[in-house]
Amino acid sequence: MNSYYNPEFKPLLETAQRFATREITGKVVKLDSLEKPGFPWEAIRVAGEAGFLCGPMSEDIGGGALSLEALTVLIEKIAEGAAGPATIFATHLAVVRALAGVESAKPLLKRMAEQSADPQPFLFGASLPMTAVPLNRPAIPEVEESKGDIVITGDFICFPSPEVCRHVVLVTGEKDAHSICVDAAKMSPHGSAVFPGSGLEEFTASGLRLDEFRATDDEIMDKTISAQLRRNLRVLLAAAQLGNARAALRTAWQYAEERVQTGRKIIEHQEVRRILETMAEQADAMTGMVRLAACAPEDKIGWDLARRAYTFCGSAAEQVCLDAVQTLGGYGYMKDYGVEKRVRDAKSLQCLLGTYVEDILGGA
Amino acid sequence: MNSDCMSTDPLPGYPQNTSPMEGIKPAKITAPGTADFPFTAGEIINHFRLAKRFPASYFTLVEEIRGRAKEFADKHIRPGAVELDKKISRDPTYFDWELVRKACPYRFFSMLIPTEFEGMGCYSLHMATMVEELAVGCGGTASTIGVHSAGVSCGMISLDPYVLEKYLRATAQAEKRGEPILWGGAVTEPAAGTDIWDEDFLEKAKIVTFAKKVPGGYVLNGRKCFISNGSVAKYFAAAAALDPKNIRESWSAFLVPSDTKGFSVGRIERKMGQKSSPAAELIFEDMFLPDELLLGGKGMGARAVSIYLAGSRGPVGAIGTGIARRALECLVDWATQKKTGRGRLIDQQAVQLVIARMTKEIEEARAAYVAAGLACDEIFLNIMSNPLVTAMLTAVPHKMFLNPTVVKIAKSDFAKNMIYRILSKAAAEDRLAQTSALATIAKIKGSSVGVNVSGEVARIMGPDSADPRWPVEKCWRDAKLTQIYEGTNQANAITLFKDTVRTWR
Repeated sequence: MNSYYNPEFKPLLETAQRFATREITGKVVKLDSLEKPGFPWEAIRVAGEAGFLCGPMSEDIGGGALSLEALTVLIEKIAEGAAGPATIFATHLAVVRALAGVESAKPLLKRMAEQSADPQPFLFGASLPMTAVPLNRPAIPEVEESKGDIVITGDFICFPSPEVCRHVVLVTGEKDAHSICVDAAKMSPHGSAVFPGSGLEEFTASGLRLDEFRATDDEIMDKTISAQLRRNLRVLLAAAQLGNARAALRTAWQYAEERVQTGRKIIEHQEVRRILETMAEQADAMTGMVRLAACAPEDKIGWDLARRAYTFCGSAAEQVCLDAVQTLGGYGYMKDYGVEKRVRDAKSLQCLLGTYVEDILGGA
Repeated sequence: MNSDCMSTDPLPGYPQNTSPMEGIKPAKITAPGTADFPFTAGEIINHFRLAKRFPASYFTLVEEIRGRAKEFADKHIRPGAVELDKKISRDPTYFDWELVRKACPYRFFSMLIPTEFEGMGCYSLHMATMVEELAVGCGGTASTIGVHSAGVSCGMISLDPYVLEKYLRATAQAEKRGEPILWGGAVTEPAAGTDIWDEDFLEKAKIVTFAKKVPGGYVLNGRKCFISNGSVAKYFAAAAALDPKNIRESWSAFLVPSDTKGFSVGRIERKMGQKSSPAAELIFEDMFLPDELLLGGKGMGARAVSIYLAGSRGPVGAIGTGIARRALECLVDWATQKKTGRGRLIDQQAVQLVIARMTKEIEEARAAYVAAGLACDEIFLNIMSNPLVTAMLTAVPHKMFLNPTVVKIAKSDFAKNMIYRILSKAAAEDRLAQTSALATIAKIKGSSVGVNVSGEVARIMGPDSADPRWPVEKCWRDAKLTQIYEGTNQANAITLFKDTVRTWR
């Protein structure tokens, strides 16, 4: 399985695998419950101690200067443990990577690095415009410039929810849009969490309704952040889909090698073999797509590849996870093997960034 | 192919005794086998001819049942479905008895019970129509009521006067009192899933539930798993083998009341969806069942399961169809109320064509289960109109069915053979294979449409798919189960291949 990765990532891969096994698998999955909804603070703290939260930052401010490709490996491995925590890390790292090249953001990143091993570590959140809004709301966020400040009106999705992150980077559009980095305490969620009980339970997301929200001069970031953040998010969430799907595939394959029906192991049934092989094909195609998007330059091609990686991995991961449930039959539909959570997480990840219609029309 | 299917009734508008094809010689088909392929256009037209033979009341009832189910779904299921789903996520032992009680006046629980035993006298297509409407409200609640009807149908197929009078009449009477009695079917076992649903695989299945003949009855030991209505049903139609060395020949069905000594409910499952329909493990420990509770004859289980599946797989497709309808309804409503930078979503071609494609898929799924329902109901109507069955239902005072001597006669090998012959005649090998094939197509089609439509709607709606106003994400979770229960779609595909080839050759 490790031959899927660039050999230079070997140390990172091993650390990430160890982290996912010890801190995510088993421990975090218990948080997937409506009886005891929880946020995986302990796993995030351990990740902070290991330096994961600072990965993309330059070495002079305590980071590891990890490339986007390296980050996809990290996120994929964490997602093999569970997709919810991987989504939290993916969002945080997408923001950190977008801010890493901005001189004015360095003090904030330094603060984040210092607080990354706190009991509740410093986490960044991301906020993007809702892609589909009620008819009485602005379809595209309205931004007015006033005396060096900007005033924003519009509907946004924020993840993780402002209650759990310290700062939120909010962007108002696709390319060359305004972006601000604000204290999460200034944001109040609008409506309930977006995915209650339907997947990614360890991860929280909420709506934000801003009406003439004033962002001050020191909160306003460079306009290039918007494009970078979106690209990072799409590539890293695609990597989370990949890890989630690979874990589902592994469970299904293992089950097929053990379960006996009609007097033989089900993997010996040609139809089951076909399903498993198709799942593996999909996972391999996802791997290629994620790597391609991660290594692409920061230009139009890179943009398009990131968008396509996110949409392709969304549908491929859903199908792989659904096929995993199908392979396990009744057992797949129940909690026992964890694949039913994989499929719910895949669906929630697929829906996170907005309506698919805008995704497919994005390149039009 | 059964020649009875080829009705020679004249079509309306044509003179009597004159075929519209008169003078036109059928083409001579030389390719081997193609002449008898079961799903040619001619065969599909036969469904309409079949329908002509059914009493008009059959179709009136379809519309009536649909109306009742729609009303119940709109008034009682929809408003609380999302909240119920969440509540059961927190506590899987919770069952909404209040909702089930509210269904009593609609008479869903006595649908399949003959009118002679205070039921509605409905058939498979009625059941399918009902569950489609219920599934628009909630896939889980549709399953609870659908599984009940499937359990009742096992009692019906046995044509056992004792069971009809004592258990089915009691079910209909309880419904009238507003105290619902639920049924379930218990076939799947921990190590035997797919293979237990196909009689050809039975011999190799790792079955753990066996019945041992003892004086006056049978002692059952074993386990059943993922049994829908398992923790709430009062009666189960359970399958067990009498002879471990000869499972297929000794595969038998028993009526298991849940208050029998030795019966217990094990783990109640935490499911991905259809949460309002509880699935549980059933444990049988030295459970004694009197002779009267053997449904049909010894070793009739495999045949009964085939007939049962021919009637129950179509309704599973209908549940998928209903779930897809709800998801599509959500999409239309959502797209009308939402806009993007390009304007209202409903005005976008990308959305309009998706809606058109989904509408087509849903109609195809519905056509599939209607075809399966008509074919299946022809079998059931033939069974019920058999002179012996008619005499039993109408000429004999029903109270006599509980008389020990009558029970003894009804349970005799002679009577069982007679019933077996009636079933075999009505569900002759070819006819059953064709009906089974149609039911399997309906199941595969409906369940796939349910998963694909709700999945795509969720993808279009993005984060809004988890909004309680448009519970598409729940629809998608609910739909997935329809591809698994009543045999996975893969197991169904194997059955379809065998049934079509068997009919074709």
